[in-house]
Amino acid sequence: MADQIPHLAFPAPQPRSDDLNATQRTPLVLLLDTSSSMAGEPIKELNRGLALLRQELQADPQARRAVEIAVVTFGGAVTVVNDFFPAAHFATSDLVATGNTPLGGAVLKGLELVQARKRQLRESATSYTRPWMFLITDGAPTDDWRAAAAKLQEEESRKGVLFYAVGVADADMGLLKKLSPSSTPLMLQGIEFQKLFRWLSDSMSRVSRSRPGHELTLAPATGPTGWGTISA
Amino acid sequence: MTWVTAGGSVVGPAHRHAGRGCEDAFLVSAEFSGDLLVAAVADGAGSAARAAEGAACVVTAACAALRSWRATSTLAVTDISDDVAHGWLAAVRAAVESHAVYAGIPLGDLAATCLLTVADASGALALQIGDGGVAVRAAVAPSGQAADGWTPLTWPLRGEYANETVFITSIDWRAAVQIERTGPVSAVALFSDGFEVLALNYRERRVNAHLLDPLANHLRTVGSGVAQAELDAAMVGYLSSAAFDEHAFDDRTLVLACVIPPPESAQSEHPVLDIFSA
Repeated sequence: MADQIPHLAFPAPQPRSDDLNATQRTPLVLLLDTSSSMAGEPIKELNRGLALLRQELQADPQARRAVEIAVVTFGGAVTVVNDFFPAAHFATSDLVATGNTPLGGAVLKGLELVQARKRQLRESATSYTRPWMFLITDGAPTDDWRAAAAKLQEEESRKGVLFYAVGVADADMGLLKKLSPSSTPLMLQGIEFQKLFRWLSDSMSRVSRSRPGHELTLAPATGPTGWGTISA
Repeated sequence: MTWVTAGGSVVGPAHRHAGRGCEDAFLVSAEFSGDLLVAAVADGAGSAARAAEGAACVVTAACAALRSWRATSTLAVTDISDDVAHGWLAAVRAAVESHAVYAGIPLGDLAATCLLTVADASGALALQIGDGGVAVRAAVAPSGQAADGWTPLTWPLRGEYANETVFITSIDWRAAVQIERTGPVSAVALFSDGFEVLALNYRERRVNAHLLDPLANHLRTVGSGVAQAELDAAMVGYLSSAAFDEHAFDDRTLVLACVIPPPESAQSEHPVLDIFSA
């Protein structure tokens, strides 16, 4: 080993802060249904799920710096609760269930946030992985979702974003399929938000560590260890 | 003209975390007489079992291609044509393809980047497919030493996303080839992506000379007459520094090569300096 020949040892590295590159980023957009039908246990479980996501990501030394989370809620109105906070500083106050379900508007807002964030990251020469958009709903859109579906499919086809849709309880699974025909919407088992967010946190950790040429494998979302089922 | 080199590959924290070994490889060919430096680096990226094998195959084939070429050519490095250089890479690709066939595995299992540099007194030529990079320090001008002579010769190739690049096994590898030349150099550094993030400043598109200069100066000072294995061990020691772990997650490979002046002329020109060198 090198330390057996001390005079040959290279001088210890002294990284200078202006030489350091920004950490590679892993953007995640959460599109969360907070319409009135989510009131009661579902919204409580959703809030607990978000807290768990924060806790798990913050415990991962790499993911806490790499993963950045935007939260858009749709309940009565489309609201940007968080615009890409690093997981290390991510926090949300408890979400409240109210109003109708402007799901289409939320998808468009999410895509808009992704475009803006990508532009910023490119301008600062910060590398990033493909953004995830993760939608959770228990109903059906009360706004025009067709424009959103077209825009989403266009982004998906040019690999601009990875979209996942999760239906809760009485969610319109057929519509979620129409929103993104290339992905399979999953039905949440009961109100297993904890399992869902633990899986999401684990997936984000894996994505933040992914590197060229390595196939990314995620833990199964369905089956005995998963949180979802594929609805017929 | 004489080269002194030190090279090493160490497993990065990301692979340690995943329980994988180092999947980078490097080779500096010592078989060339005279002033020719030949160095290759590869970052294996295929499936877990075969990534390291792919990287080893690439660097071995690259040096073999250079040997075949040198057997019939005495051209100076700056006179080497693009066609000849492409031919070396085609030979590397063919070697990886036949390795896959004999092993009965998909070509993609051997996916690896390919960095190859040749240098002599006329200058340096770098070839690259994928990420990682090659940086050079310009030769010291007769008038004095340049303060910051490091420049990137090649630059890491990435897709839109950080976890995408092109490999020598990719369908579109030909379109991804970088061929770059430069005049006389005093030092050359080849590195895989795990060291690239430390050696290059992406935003300003420059080489972090503060990192490489002390290494090159040290190698020039202590390197002459030392066994290659000892210099390589010193490089492994350097690359293993925990100070890097927070900023660089991938396997780290660095090959550093410096020109050392012939001892006779150094003594005759600067006899006074001997007093201080002890």
